[in-house]
Amino acid sequence: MTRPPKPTRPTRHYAAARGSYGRELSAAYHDFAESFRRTRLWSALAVNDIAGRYRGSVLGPFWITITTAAFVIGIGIVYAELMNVPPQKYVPWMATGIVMWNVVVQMVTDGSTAYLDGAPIIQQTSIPLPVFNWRVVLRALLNFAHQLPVILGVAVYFGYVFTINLPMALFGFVLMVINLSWMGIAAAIVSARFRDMQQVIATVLQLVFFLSPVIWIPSEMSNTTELLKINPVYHMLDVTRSPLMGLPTSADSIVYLLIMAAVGWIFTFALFASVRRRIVHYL
Amino acid sequence: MAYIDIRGLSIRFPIYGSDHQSLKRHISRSVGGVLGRAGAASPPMVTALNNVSLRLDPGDRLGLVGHNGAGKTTLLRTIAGAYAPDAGIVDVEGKVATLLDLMTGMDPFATGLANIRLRGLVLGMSSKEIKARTEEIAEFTELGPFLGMPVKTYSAGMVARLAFGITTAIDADILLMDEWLGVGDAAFRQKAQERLLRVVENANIFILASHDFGMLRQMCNKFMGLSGGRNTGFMTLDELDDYIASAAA
Repeated sequence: MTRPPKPTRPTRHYAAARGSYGRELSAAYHDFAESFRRTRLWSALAVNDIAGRYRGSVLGPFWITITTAAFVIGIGIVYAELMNVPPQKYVPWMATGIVMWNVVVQMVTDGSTAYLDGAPIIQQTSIPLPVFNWRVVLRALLNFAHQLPVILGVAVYFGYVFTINLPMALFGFVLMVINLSWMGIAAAIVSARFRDMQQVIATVLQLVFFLSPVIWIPSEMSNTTELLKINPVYHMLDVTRSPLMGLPTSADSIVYLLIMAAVGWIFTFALFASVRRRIVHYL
Repeated sequence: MAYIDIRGLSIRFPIYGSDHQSLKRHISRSVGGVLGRAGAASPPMVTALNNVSLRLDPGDRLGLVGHNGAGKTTLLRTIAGAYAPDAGIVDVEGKVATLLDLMTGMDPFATGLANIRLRGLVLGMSSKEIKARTEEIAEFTELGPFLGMPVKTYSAGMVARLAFGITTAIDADILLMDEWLGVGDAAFRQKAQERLLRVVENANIFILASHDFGMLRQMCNKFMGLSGGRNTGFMTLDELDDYIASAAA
């Protein structure tokens, strides 16, 4: 008995969803896999975003470095006094905190407009949606790279540069970015569907800024410190800031972020799979 | 071998209008209980394409005709892969190049040259291809020193030259175009048409949606009418004349 020849699948096959969530999950996986084959595209978009913002200015993206430095100096002078903490303890804490906080804001707040910004392309091509999320992620990383000199400058100035635990800092940073990535994708989806969400997310983040030890140092005596540990940003700051200041990272924070990464990505992936067909209609 | 095979395609657009896109409405609806939810929870639907079937093989140059809102652009975008079918199947074999919108993938603040790269990447060209073709594209557009200037300084015709030059530089098996030659001077139109014919001659599939019957006659060898999202039938060149006459009447 001869088997009939296997029909060759066309390069692109689009079929109606027949209520099969499994098929959507595999399509979502395919979207993510495909998005990594379009690395050139999202890199070009991210670089163009940064270049575009500073087009025509003499210093270009180094303005990012300068504004961050100005912020650190300003807050450093005022707050070290206000909080009665010696500058050599306060400024490194606050400077690394601010730089990491900027990554949080850029990946989540900017992440919420990822699909809205990409709308003209999304509505006319088969480019997989995650491409627009990676664009935001890379844009945030490029921004971060321009703020690194501030962290380094502070470390040199206060003379603790040789105590920096680089491998640990890198590990913590990657862990933070993995978590912020799913948050950015979830933010992009809900903000495309509900236009209020963009404002909601910005407002919540504003609140989280004050609730997180970005520019203030939690007191070790206070029992509110335990309460702080519910806040994911607390742990993100811990895993990135501590090694950069030559301090030990708490294992609790690493475990917290590992679990959150797993749960968050499963949730986001499931959400993405269930709405991926409709996102283009949201725009 | 390139082909497009569409069977029973329907595309429905949920309209997330001003009152459906706000979170407040959504929340207030979901707390409304079972009664209010059944019908009200789903947004109103517009059927953009209704049970459309279509098969195209190499050498087919299809002209899409129909009134505004008949579904021409939706059909092109679906073939391009932007919309997932709500019913039916769309099979597309071959590399697709599109010219559906002049500014897609372009940044008005970036230079013409930067935009060749950006739009090229959006349309699926590799970095290598873009590098290899940039000179040819530049030559075709005749924009010369303007390629070093931001696209926002271009006239509509200049943007059209650039967009057209990039799309037709792609080694595509399938070329999709939505009404575009309204801009550009006579010399450019002539040049564009020649270039297009050359591209189409390579046994490719070409689809053009247009209201310009003269253009359609020159470029296409097959025609399809769309009305209210339905395929009103395929036409030959002669039948197209009848269609035009009836449309004019």
